[in-house]
Amino acid sequence: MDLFSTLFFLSSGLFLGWSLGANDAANVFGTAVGSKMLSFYRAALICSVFLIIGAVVGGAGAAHTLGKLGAISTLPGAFTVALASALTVFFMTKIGLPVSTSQAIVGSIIGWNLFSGTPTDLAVVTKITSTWLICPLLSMFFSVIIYQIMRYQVYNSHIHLIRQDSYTRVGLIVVGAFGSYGLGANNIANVMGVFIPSSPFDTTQLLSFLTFTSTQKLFLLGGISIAVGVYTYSRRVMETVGRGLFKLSPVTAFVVVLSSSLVLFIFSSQELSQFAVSLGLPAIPLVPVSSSQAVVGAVLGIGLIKGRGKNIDWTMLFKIVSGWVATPVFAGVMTIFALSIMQNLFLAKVF
Amino acid sequence: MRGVFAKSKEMEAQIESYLAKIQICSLVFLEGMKDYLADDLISFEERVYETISVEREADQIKSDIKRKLYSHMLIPDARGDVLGLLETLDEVLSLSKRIMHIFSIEHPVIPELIRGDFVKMVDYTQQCMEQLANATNCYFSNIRQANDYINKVHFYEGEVDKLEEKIKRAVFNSKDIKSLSQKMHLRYFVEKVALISDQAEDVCDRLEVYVIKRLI
Repeated sequence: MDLFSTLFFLSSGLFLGWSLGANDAANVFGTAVGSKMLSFYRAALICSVFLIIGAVVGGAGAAHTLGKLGAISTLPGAFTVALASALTVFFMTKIGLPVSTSQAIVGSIIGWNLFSGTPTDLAVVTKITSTWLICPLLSMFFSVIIYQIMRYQVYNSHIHLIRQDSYTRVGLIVVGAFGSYGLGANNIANVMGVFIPSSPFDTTQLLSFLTFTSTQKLFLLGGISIAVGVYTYSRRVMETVGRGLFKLSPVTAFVVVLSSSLVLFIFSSQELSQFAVSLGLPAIPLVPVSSSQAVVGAVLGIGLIKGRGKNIDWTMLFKIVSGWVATPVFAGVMTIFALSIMQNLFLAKVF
Repeated sequence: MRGVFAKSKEMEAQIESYLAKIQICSLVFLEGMKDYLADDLISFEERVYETISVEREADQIKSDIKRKLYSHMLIPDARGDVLGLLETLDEVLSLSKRIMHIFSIEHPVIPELIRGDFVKMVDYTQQCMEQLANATNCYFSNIRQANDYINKVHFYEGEVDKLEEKIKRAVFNSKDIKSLSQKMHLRYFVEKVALISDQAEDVCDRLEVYVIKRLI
């Protein structure tokens, strides 16, 4: 397949990557940039570098789970699935419903399974959906613990306000880098996961001990598209997040970013999962989760301590839960519709 | 990264130095008023100039802190609070300097009848300023103790108010002070001195809110 066709079929995934960078980078660096703790260009650079490293080095785990849900065998099929996901994200954002790329891609893959007559492994579906439920809850749990530790430190350590500001600034950069790594590792599967079975790239042997697999090449491309999203469109989103939606102090922002980053890391780290198994614990499900919902969970955790649960936005919670159902269903229907157009109108081989 | 910590260290030192100026100013004010009441006008005039110089130095430090807070983009979330705090603290220093200066120009005669209470009032005013500096220091580096000092400021301000009323009543009920102009003149000075603790209390009212905001 020539380069133009390859890029054309990958374009829907690259578009998904771009929108992920434009929107989700704000979950990691939004407060730091919005509150002027960090300049946008420094944040964008750190975010892009660690996103790409996360995608290439740690992206395989979550992608493997998506692969078990449905292995899309042709490039036109993968293009259509990613496009339907991207359109779902676009339309649901347009009508003001909370949407997650992770949930859209899962709906789209199931849609492809239904269209192609491939059986869907219900055990994998259960694993994925239960992770969506656990994601904000775990993030909330982490934020409660970390927030208590931070509060104890601020009360008892006699750190000067100005020095606390410097520590927080450095802390936001470190957790931002960690969060970017987690975002890349966890969410690259949403962007490029569907293209893995039909990857147009070959594995390259770089050194005797170092290989650059076709999947890693895909993930590098996806990572770059996310970075382009960060540079071209995330600035406004970051500034809106920092100033508007949830105005957090830099210390609470640190807690939120660290908590949500831990969740993203946990659900994408193969090493951590293997470590859990070696301890006789069940394996950690490696599933793409929504970074926005992890952030909302962390913010709710802080709200739980600060206002003893009185200031929890139940409407927001209801919207998240309804999104778990509405997004995959919408994406699934959209995918079936798009696949039938591709197959019947453009005569493309979609499975 | 090292630059960030160097800048913050420098800023910490400047804030501490500014708060030290408030404490020095409060002590110079107290000693100056004692000199005045002891009719040691030469020492008093020296204290007046000392207050002017301390206030000027404090003003320079404050301007430098303000400039650096913005140019180094420090504490973006609490910058407004800190600047507001510095401005209102500056008013306490300016008041003590202005009052010393007015004493130096107008030379009010403080009758024996009220001298004891006047000294007490000045003493409590000094305490108010000192506890205010301590409370501010705690806001920056020992948040848990800030309210202890804030309570002390409220206490001393209340004592100053009580003495203010007591002195005014004594002045206006006195048969020894015959002229109404002298009574009015004394009332003016008593009210002026009481203004310092009122301003200190106003700063503490702000500080109370800032402390809550800092308790993440």
